[in-house]
Amino acid sequence: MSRDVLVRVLAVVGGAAVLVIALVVASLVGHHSTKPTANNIQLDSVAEMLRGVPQHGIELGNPKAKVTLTEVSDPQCPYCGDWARTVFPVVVQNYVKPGKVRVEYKGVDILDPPDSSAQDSSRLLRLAQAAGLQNKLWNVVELEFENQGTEGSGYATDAFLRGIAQSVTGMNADKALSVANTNAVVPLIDSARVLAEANFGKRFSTPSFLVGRTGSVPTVKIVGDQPFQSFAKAIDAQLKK
Amino acid sequence: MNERYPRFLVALLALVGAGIAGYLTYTHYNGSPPVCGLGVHGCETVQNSSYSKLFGIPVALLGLLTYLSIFCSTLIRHPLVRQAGVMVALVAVGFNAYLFYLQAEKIHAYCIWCISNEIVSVFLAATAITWLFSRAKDTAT
Repeated sequence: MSRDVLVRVLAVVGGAAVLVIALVVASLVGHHSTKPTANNIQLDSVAEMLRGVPQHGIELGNPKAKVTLTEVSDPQCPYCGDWARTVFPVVVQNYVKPGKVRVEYKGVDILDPPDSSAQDSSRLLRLAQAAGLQNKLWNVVELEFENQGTEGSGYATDAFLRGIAQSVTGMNADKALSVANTNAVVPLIDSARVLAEANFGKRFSTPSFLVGRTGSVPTVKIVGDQPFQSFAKAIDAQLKK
Repeated sequence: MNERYPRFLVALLALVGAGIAGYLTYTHYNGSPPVCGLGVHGCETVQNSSYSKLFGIPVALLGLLTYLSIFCSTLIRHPLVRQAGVMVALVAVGFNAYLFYLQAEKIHAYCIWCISNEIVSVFLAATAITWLFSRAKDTAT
């Protein structure tokens, strides 16, 4: 192989390697660029989405809605966050606001590593359930998803939780943060895990969903960060019954 | 080796890749889930994952543009264009390896269309290297 050819080949392969590294770095940086801090809580889209929608405890929407959608999710699960940010607003707009569907939140903390001090799921979940006692659970849950950090990074600091709580209009943040550290929220978290295991097995994944007529045993199970069409199909079928 | 044969193969594989990437781009903008087969059911999960965009642009669309640019490079008979085409093919296989890693380790779901695309990119890169060498040999001798 002549020197000219070798230089040309090295230029092509080296250039390609540099470009691949640049693209991979861009992809990773783009994926993590939304890491939140206590001072940059994003709340506009959540407040707008939930405006005028009734809440009671873990429930969102018209209590007399024909169909109930049950969401089983972990607050630090990235797929749950992706679903919450992309699909859930469309579900709210098309089904919850018109009063056709009510949603129940069954929050679980399965992603906290047992051998780590980072207990983000538990801390986020406790605040959400404490907010539920003031009928503001959905504001907190959706704000937590909107500002979700990297799984297992310990991003749910005291300052972060306070930032979330103080961003919810009409909620007593101090009271919610105080209740979050008591046993008052434990039964709600335990009951969510029991429901998830009963419907999806001991090794269930998040997000998982149940769809059914309100007051009846849910008949449809949806597992994973599925697109809006999957939910529309299941909900429409239940509405037609 | 006559450079015509690898050039033809590169063009053909680039068109196959463009077809796959084009389909994924169509389903992305259409909002419909890609048809998943062969016992692999993660197409929607992969397509809806937070890794499916780069700079806000769907990765499928970037793939489509990449394959089309490689195809175009086979139509223009200039050494620099050819080298650029080979370089893009190598970038494609490298980035596809990363996308495969994401499916296996981060997304925990596989998309049969993406895997097909990754296989095509491997063959395309191998053929492109042959093309580069055949041309290089022609020039050198």
